[in-house]
Order: sequence, then structure tokens, then C-alpha cells
Amino acid sequence: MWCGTLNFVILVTSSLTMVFAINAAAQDPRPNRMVGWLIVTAVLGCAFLVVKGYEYYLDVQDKVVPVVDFEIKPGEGSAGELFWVFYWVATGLHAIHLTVGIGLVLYMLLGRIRRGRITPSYFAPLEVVGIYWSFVDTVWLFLYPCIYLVGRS
Amino acid sequence: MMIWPEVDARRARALPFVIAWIVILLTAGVSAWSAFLGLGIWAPVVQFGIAAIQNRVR
Repeated sequence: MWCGTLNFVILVTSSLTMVFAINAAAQDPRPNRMVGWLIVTAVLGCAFLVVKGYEYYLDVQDKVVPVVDFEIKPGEGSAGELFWVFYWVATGLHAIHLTVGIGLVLYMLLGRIRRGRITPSYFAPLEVVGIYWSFVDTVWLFLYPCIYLVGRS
Repeated sequence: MMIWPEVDARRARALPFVIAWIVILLTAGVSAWSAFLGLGIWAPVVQFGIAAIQNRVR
């Protein structure tokens, strides 16, 4: 559960830094502040993936990979395997989308901003990337209770 | 129908976003805490309700 909670904090914080980057793009003609916030956002996105990767490592050790290596624990019926199928598909798809988001942030940094194409008068592409990032974050808001909190009471 | 005003990035200040971030983290703590309260069938209702509120705050 701690991996999911840590990732929740990381992802929500990355959304905040993304908002700061967009505000900096809209308000500051110099790109330094925007670039700084975007780098922090990308680093937080990578940190999420590292924590997720470590969690996957623990899951493999725990033999909860359906089809490949799955061991039904005592007191856990066959529905347990269904949960783990959902877990791998949902978190895997989420991780893919987040990877795309990190790629988009890097594209903004290395492509658009470096060439001076994001300015206070035109920052729509960065806003669109921010909306995408927000979508990935929103999905985690709902995945968190679905995966990490369900069935604990 | 607009319920909350749209935010214009050209005039936006940092403080409301920081407050929203703190609210989301605090409600996430409440959500995690509710998982151990023995709410039974109501636990997912509470947790999804909190997630919906967090989504609105964002």
C-alpha cells in the first residue's frame, strides 16, 4: 500500500509543478522558470515509474502475476486472480500513459521551448500537455482506492 | 453551465493551487484512514466520494 500512497503524493505534486510551468509560460517572457518546473515535473513522473517498477518487482517476488506465475494464497479464492489481472492491466496502461506524458514534457523542453516556440502570447501546446498530464493524474485518483484501499476493512 | 470560474493562466496566482494540493493530500489521508475503519460496504462509497471531491478540487 505504501508504494501506491507514495505514488499518489508524487503524481499530485507533479500536477502542481505542471500548473506552475504553465503559469510561468503565460506570465514570464524568460523561459527559465517554465523550464525549471517542467524538469521537476518530468523527474517526478520518472520517480513514479521507479516506485511502480519496484512495486512490480515485489509483486513478482510475491508470485502474483496471473498466467505467468500465480500462487493462490490461503483464504483467497479464485477471485484473487481476477483482482491481480485488473491490477496489472490498469496500472500497466496507466504507466504507459504516464511514459507518453513524460515524452511530451521532454518534447516541449527539447523541441518547442528550446526553439522559442512557447511564449506568453502562445503557450497552447504546453496547456494541452498539461491537460493530458492532468488526465493521467485523475485516473490515479480513482485507481488508488480501487487497488490499494479496497477490501482492507 | 459553469459552476466554478475558469482559470486564466496569465493572471493565475500560485496560492490557490498550493491550497488545492494540500486539500487533495489531506483528503487522500482521510481516504486511506477510512480503509481501516471497518465501514464494510460503505468503504468504497466513501473512498470514491473522496476521489470525486479530489477531482473537483483539481
